[in-house]
Amino acid sequence: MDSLGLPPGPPLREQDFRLLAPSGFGDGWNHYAHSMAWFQDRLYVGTSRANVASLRVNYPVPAVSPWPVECPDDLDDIDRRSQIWEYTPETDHWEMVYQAPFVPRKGGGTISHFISYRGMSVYRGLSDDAPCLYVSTWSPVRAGDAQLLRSEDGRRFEMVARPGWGSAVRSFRSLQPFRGRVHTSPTSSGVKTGFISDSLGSDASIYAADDPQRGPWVTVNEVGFGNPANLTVFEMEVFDNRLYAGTVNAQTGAELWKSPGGTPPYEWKPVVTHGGGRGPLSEGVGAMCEFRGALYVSLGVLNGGYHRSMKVGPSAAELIRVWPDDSWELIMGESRITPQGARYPLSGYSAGFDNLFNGYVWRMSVHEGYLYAGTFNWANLLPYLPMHVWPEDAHALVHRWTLSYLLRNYGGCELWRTGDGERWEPVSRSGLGNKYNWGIRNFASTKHGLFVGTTNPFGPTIAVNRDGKWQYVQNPRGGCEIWLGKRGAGAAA
Amino acid sequence: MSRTEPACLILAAPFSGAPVLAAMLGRHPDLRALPELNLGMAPTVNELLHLYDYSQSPIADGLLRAIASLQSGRRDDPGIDDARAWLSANRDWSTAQLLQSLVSAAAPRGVVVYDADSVLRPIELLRLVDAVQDAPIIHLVRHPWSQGVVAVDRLADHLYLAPDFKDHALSPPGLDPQLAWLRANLNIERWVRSTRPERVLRLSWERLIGNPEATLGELCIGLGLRFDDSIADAMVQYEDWEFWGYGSQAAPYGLDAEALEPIAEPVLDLAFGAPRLDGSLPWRRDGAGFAPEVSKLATGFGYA
Repeated sequence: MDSLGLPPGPPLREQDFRLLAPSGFGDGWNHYAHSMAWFQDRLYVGTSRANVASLRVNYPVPAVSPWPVECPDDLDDIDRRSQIWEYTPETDHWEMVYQAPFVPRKGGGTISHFISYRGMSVYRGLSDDAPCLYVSTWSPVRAGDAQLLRSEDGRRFEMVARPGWGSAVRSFRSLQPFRGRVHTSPTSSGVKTGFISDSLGSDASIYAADDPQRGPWVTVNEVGFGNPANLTVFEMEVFDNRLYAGTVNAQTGAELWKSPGGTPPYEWKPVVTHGGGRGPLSEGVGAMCEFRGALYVSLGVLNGGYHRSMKVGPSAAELIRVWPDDSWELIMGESRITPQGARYPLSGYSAGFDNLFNGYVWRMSVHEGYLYAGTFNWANLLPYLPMHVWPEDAHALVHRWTLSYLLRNYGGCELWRTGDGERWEPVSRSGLGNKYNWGIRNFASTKHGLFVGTTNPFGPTIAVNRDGKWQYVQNPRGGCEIWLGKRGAGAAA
Repeated sequence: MSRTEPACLILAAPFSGAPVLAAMLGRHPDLRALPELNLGMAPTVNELLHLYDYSQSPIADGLLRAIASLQSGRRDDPGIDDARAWLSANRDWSTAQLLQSLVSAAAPRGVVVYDADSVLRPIELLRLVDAVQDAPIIHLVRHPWSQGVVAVDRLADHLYLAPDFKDHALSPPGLDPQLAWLRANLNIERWVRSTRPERVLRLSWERLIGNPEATLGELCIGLGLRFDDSIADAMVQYEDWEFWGYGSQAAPYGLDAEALEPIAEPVLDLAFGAPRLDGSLPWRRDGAGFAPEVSKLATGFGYA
């Protein structure tokens, strides 16, 4: 550490990142690198397919025109079989090791069983001979139920016991190992008429199993921690030998709970409530990461910062830091006086790192002594949004800056870093040079460097305005990307 | 003291009287105090110019006024235009180099730099502190009640209010300067005073105004400057500072608001008549008082 507490060695800079996998692994419908894990010395990436097309069957449908990507009338005309890719660093080789099967579609025909792998975790259950790769899935309403996948070798994947939730649950996300069990929770729900929400489960329970290969899964908390307004347990993390769980609560703001574990059901204790005093504008816990003795927790509004069905937002994300004694500090966000005392952003940055478009801090990771945070940023949707109905001052601001300036310089997601938790600096403010990268969804810190997986729904085509007319053209930079950041890889600054 | 570093740096929370202290020091015959330069905002002049292009706030005005005065002795619009061109021509400089250039241009007089904005952001604060090298730092503090009353008077009718000055726990978020007071002063304490205790002098506004001659005398001696009755007389006439008030139309601002327009008597009475740490705050509709953290820090500064 230096005198101001910085780690030894330089951090990663934007020029230290190398693009390993462009254009959705060659398929622009691979929109999200939705999950990532380091397993048996290889990188595994699970994709989400056609996310922006799926938004057209969300309720309410976003006020976007024209639709940024050309989509067929019937969503199922797109091959939405989500994929798992394997990367071998030594040979710089990618291989697709799994693709979701087609299954009979309710109402006739076939449909992909899974459209996404929303979480991955390496875990050794009671019946496992060695640590296995477990993958949480997302199933369309007209397919079968979401399932838990297990692989011993990263090549063969099998469906194993899943929690006994109802068929309204369409996906689950975290697979969090903690004290001999792996934990998960439902994070999207739907009915046969279509989606209700891609980020709200119908069951605010945490399920745990010590033997996920065989089950059973049991609940370890009271539904919603006893608060009906806690709609979903959205994210979990282990810190200070406790399991932390963050909720979505659109009425009073997100809640963060912790438990020492033990025999189910666990005892739980609230750590942060009311969105840390910000209320519904911090309705959900997005990402958590331990760094230098504290748990960094991002808070924000679902659906990228504007939860349309609940009329929450638009709003940018915040970042807080929680200590083992349950005290917490605001790292990035809006100053306020809370029941726990005055809070101001220790970093000096207001919400979204001073950027309204940063709706989430989607993922964080520690790599070589630095904490990295990746955002979701909706600026690149601006050409398709009804800006004419925006408040006059917001409209004037965009007019002053110009859309082309905004998109060129701030059109993509952002990557930030800190060496001490308080002094943050941008690594990239433009999607690692690709404005179509609207989010950083995954990190994997390895001996080979820091892998970064993006979300990029602007493929395979993109709507462009030429001479006053909209048309769809192929977008070679559309589709998720995988980057590798390695210290000193880029040219000297 | 080398000629590449300023004579001193004044740091203060916004609306804490920093331009008044700068103006007083600027009246010393061996010093030139400059408007607020905002050099902490960026590491390079090029990035600073980029911010100027896209900011809605007049963040360039202080630096342009300073350059115009130091380079050509002008304060009019053509002088500002020349300053802008000079800045653009030196866009490859670091902001630290830019400051060194200003120091050289002012020589043999020493430069006084003040900043009441970078203090809100540690990165900018430390960048500025690095740029002034080993220059002494004066941490000017003002009672949070007085600061709050002055800030509300200056900000209440603004169409756009920076989020730094609002309490976002209120719905809609409402003006409450105590948060910026706390944030700025704690940042100075934490990031500057704790790591450079030998360089930082804390000075209270109330002491300065209560006994300006004696306080300025101590300050000058501490800075290695000469001081006598005639110098004291000049320094207390701070409104005669070359930059006091608005600049030309091309760069009218560049100073904390209290150096641009006089504060009305009723506001002065409320701000400085009987400041206190207990009870309701006049700008809070909900009748709330100071947050415990504000009271604690203010008490530590010697306020009651």
